[in-house]
Amino acid sequence: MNEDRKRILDLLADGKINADEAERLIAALGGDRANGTADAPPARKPPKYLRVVVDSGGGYGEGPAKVNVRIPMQLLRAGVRLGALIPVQAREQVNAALREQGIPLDVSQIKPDNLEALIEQLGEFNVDVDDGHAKVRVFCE
Amino acid sequence: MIPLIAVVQIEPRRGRRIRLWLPLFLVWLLLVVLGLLLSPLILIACLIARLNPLQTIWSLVRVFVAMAGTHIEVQSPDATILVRVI
Repeated sequence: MNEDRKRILDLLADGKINADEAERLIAALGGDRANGTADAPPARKPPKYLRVVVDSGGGYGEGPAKVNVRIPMQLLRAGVRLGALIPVQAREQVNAALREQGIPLDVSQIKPDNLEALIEQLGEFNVDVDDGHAKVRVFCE
Repeated sequence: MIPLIAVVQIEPRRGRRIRLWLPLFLVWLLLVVLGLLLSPLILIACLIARLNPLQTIWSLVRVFVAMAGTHIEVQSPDATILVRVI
């Protein structure tokens, strides 16, 4: 219970305001919260899509090229669930192949729960690369 | 939502523009029939791989369903290719 609400209830208990007034005041507090003036930050919506945008602008001498990819996060979730079905032997082979490429990742550790936490944090994710020849942007929306 | 239509558009710089609207709902129907016909084989394959057949099928269905909203667009000097799943 926040401080303002407690004060209103104290006023009501002391008989300084009646129930109708208390209700109006509490409703007004609720309106303030809806307008975003409360202390708690508004809940962030999880991103729905992963976007990859590439604009080479012809900088590499092959003419201008653009790539615009939008992948639903649902597909990522479904892929991870499908990945959980990989047999143990195959999973070990995947891990070994990743290690060979310098990626020490254990695919068996990627679980739907972990993925949800990752996707929530991806809302802030933004990679912006501009080397003068091409622009690459990876972000979530 | 299940993806119902896939749009594939190929626009070469020279030549004819190709625009295909692929009715995925017909593909789903075909897959259901095919899945039923091949169900004994699928079951045996799942048993060999020590997988839960229902879980496997459900995971595959989820992947197909999750494809809705996919948008891939590539523009090069020679052609523009667009693939959209609606």
